[in-house]
Amino acid sequence: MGAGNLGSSLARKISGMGHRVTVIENDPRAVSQLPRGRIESGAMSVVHRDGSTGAAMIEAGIAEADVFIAATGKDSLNGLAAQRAKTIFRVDQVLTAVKEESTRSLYDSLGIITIDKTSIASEQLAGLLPEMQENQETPVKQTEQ
Amino acid sequence: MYLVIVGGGKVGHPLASSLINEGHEVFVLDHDPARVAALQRQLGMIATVGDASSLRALEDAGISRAGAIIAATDSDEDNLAACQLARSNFDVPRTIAIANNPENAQLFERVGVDLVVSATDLVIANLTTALPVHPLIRLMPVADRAQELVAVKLPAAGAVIGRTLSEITLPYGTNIVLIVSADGRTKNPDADAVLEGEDEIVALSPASTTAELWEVLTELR
Repeated sequence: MGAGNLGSSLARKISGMGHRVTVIENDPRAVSQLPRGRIESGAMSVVHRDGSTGAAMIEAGIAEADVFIAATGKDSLNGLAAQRAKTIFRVDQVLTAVKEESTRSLYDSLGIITIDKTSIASEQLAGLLPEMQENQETPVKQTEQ
Repeated sequence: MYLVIVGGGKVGHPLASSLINEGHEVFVLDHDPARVAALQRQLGMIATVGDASSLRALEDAGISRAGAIIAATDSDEDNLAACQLARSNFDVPRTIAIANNPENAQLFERVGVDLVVSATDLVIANLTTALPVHPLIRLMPVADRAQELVAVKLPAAGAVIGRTLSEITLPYGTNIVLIVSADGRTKNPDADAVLEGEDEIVALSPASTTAELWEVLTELR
């Protein structure tokens, strides 16, 4: 969810690793940051809606998703969407971008993996994904500050 | 009780005012300086500018000694974050949130908000009580939707009250299946069955004439 700087670079990276990626993004300018070739070839899909709603998640195929990543620039919106993905749609691995360091412990306690986008490069995060697929029981190690 | 209200807009502002009148100590947090100024003008220094989902702002509002937090912004994500931060970081005993979007009400409850007020549900509940209470309830479509099973409650002062089924003219093809009286007794829909006020009529009705059936059954004397 979210195709801003973080979301679009994550989508590009993860899609490049061969995973199926659907991006939920309402803003056409943000959507234009996504790799057009991948969208045209069908490797990446885009849902043009407000990503925090259940309807947008369903349209994006949340029922089959292994991972949900909330990557908008608004912490609380990411938090709400991540909790919907985890609680209502029961997605295995849920990650959320958090700008304000002090709110991380809240999401940690809810079993949602936090991404501090100011200190983590998208490469590092993308590197975590194959681990999750091979061994879903092992919690992904939190990136250090 | 000391109460922190997050969001001083069209809900938070009057809420703060009424809680103060009831003798509570209230503090309001809002990100909009104009709203904070309005609150301060009308209610005194009980409001400050701050982001609802920021720990620092909640702390400045004295959240650690609050008996409850009431999240009443027009942004559901901020309402949820404020309640969860208040609980997880400051152990606030009671968290109350408005869900502006009704689909968030269930989520809020599932993730531990103590009291969720769904704005839409409140409006609907109020409207429903203001409307005449002899609704048409569509129970089930039948025969590929050509017919439908419906229930209609008869108004106490209805034109059909006191008459038998054979005395009233129903739309062609309507079959009355069952009559349930207000006290829960069921009556067979025979030709000589007498209709009483508040009876619930269950009927199999051609979909095209259901509206007409409702009009006949709910017409007032």
